[in-house]
Amino acid sequence: MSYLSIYYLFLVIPAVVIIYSIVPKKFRYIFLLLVSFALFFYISKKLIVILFITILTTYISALFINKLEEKKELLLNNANSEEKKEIKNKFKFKKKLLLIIYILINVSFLVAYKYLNFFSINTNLLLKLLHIDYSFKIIRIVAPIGISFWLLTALSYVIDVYNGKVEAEKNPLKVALYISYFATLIEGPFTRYADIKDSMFAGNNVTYDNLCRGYQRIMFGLFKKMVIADRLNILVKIVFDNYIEFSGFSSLLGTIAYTVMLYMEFSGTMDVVIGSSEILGINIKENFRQPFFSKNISEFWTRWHISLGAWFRDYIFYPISLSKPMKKLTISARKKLGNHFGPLISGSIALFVVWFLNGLWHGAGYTFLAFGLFHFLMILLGNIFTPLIIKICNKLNINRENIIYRVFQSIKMAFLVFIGEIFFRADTMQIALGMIKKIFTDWSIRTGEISSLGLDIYDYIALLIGITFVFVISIFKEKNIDVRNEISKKPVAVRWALYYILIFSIFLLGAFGHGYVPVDPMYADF
Amino acid sequence: MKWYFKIIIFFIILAILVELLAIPLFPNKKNLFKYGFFNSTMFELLNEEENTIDTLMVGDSLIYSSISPTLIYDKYGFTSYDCSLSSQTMKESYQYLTLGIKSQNPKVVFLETNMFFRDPDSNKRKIKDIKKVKYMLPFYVLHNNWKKILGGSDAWIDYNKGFRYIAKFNPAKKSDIESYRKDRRDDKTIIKDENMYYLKKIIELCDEHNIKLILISNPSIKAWSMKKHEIVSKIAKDYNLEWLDLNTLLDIDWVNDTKDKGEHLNHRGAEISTYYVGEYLLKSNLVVSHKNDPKYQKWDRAVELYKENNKETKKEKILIK
Repeated sequence: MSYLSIYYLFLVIPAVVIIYSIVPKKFRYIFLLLVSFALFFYISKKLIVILFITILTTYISALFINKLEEKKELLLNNANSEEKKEIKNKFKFKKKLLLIIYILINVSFLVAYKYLNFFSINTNLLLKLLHIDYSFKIIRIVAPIGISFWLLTALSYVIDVYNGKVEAEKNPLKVALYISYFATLIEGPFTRYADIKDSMFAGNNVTYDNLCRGYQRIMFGLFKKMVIADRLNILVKIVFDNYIEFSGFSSLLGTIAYTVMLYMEFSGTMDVVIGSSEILGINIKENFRQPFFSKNISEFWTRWHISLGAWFRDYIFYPISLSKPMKKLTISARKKLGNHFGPLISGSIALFVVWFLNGLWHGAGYTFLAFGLFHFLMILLGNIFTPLIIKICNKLNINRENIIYRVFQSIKMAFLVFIGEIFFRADTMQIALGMIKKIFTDWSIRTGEISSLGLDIYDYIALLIGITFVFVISIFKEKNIDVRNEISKKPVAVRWALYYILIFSIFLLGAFGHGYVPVDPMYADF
Repeated sequence: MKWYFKIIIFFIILAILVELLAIPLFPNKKNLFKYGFFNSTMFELLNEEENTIDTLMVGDSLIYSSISPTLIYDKYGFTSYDCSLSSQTMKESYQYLTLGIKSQNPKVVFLETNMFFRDPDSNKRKIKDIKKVKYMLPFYVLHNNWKKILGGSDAWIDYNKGFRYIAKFNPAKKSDIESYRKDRRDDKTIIKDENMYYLKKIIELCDEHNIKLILISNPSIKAWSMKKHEIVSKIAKDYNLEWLDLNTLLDIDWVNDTKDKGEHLNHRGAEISTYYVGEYLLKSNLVVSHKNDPKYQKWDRAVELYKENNKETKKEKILIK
């Protein structure tokens, strides 16, 4: 089920909001937990057992780590300085062991459900190459819905407890809700326990203001999905399935269309997630921040799927780059290569691991690995050449803050993102590389090619209207203007007129019914 | 004002706007006010100009995938329309025909016999009935007609006349073709009382309006059986009706002429059944040709648009998947 389906938006959410309002405040989080389990069970049936195991292991591990910490503090109070060191090491080891066991148990689910087939297929290929007459059985298994999201959410909680950033929660139901909260269960974003716990368990009242703001956000998300993403879907399918028949121009158009579609669908879903949570008084951090206004790929990834980037930064990048061997490497490299390139080596190693895992997180396949490594390479090149570019700009008296330079940077950044997304969307590496080759070599547009991409002139008009609308809203957001706040200051007639315009735009321009194929929730399979 | 009153008022205004703003999206405003929002949204025949269609093809998907009224007009000059919905029941056919007779002046009605055997009480049917609520929201169903508003008068011409063009072929299984040719008998085949009730009502309705009612069984490997043939044969005899069983009259190539493994015909197959029906109308002298009649100029344009737009495209392949 998609968060952007009519049933979810206009049946599930209203029903949840009404019952949530009726339930006594102190039991509201339990109601939300039941809704979350019901949603999970509705989609993944008996695989809910995996979710239960994760919840249970998360709850117990965090509690044990906390207990060990308390016990350590108790012992430290009565110990001399030599004993203190021993106690610290002993407890550090115990905590670490517990954390590793916990991570291994839970990551094994992820490996089993998402990567086992990929590894088996590749091992079989290797065995065949080595002429070894053995092959692993390939079993097609369906993964529990949203496993990549709720599992990493659970891991972040235990790691935060381990690092002493949060206290372990004593109420197992609250831990369960944090992991399986229905609004973020399928497509994220990754939440942090410290950020969400207060609003999630407070049982805040549903207010008129929250209801209006929440539904405004939801309708905006629906607009992005139905007017833009669903309309682009046919063009994207046609280009990616038949790229050989098209010119490089159409391949590029298909690639741009895919990136826009992905953004509209995923950020639209996030609007629904954040908007529906807002109605319930639960605060969820933004997962997108106008990514196409970025100057470079590095910045792009701090504005696109922010919570995933933050997760990799906090739980992969920092632990690697700040580890003892890396620190040693940085010190010696700094001596030999200087202050810019010295620290770049350890940082790049950590970055490589991050993007390797990022690619793998998005899917088990070479195209996803290529997607991750392409971004690694682009960021690395950016890091290496930035000083040189600054030097050149300074020599040529180019103002890097100039609007023309900024637009140039954004276009360059967007082009690289489009190329990266080819790996993300293509079914095979052959298709991805074929399309990239076409983009750079084949510029012969054939007669009638554009009209054979599945959209008519009116579809392009609707896209232009839709994208312009989203672009204008993005400019406001970039300038820190809260459009919803501005609307709330207007008289009721103006406010309602704007709401009706938005609703009718979705009705009228929405790409649904005969002739359209709605986009499947793209991140729900991860 | 209490906030929930505000919400109620907001939705009341929205509901009114949804209906009012849908009016420009209807192709035939005159019929809209005459037959109402629900009927005009559900029964596409009401989009046609009044008293311009001489033959109504009433039935389920076997009608809209087997008979192309535009091709009949192109070759013979006879005007017809496919009054068919997916999984249409006899009751719906009666409703459709009633409206068809009110808005048109048909001389001939073809009634697809596959509907005789449809269970009107099945769960699938009940779900379909619930889904009919969408026809109360014309804005939802007709929303794409904004393109026609911008597209000018040509854009409003329904060049398919109820027919659904599918060029793609998906061959039937060899075993299915063999069992079809071996006069397969399905012992479970029965006609529910409700279906017989509406059949009698349709017969009465046609008699009242002096309309020639002809039963038609369009080609389908999945839907047809010898048992059904025998039952329909008896009904035709009992009620003194003419009947065309195209399953026995036509030689369909079930490898190339079907879009879905023998359940329905594709455009290639539909051409065979369409021209058979056209030839039948020509020989029976029941209807007259409207070729070269200035009143029917839009039909000539419909033929042009039909040929222009009905081509197999990559988009069509995606939509069929």
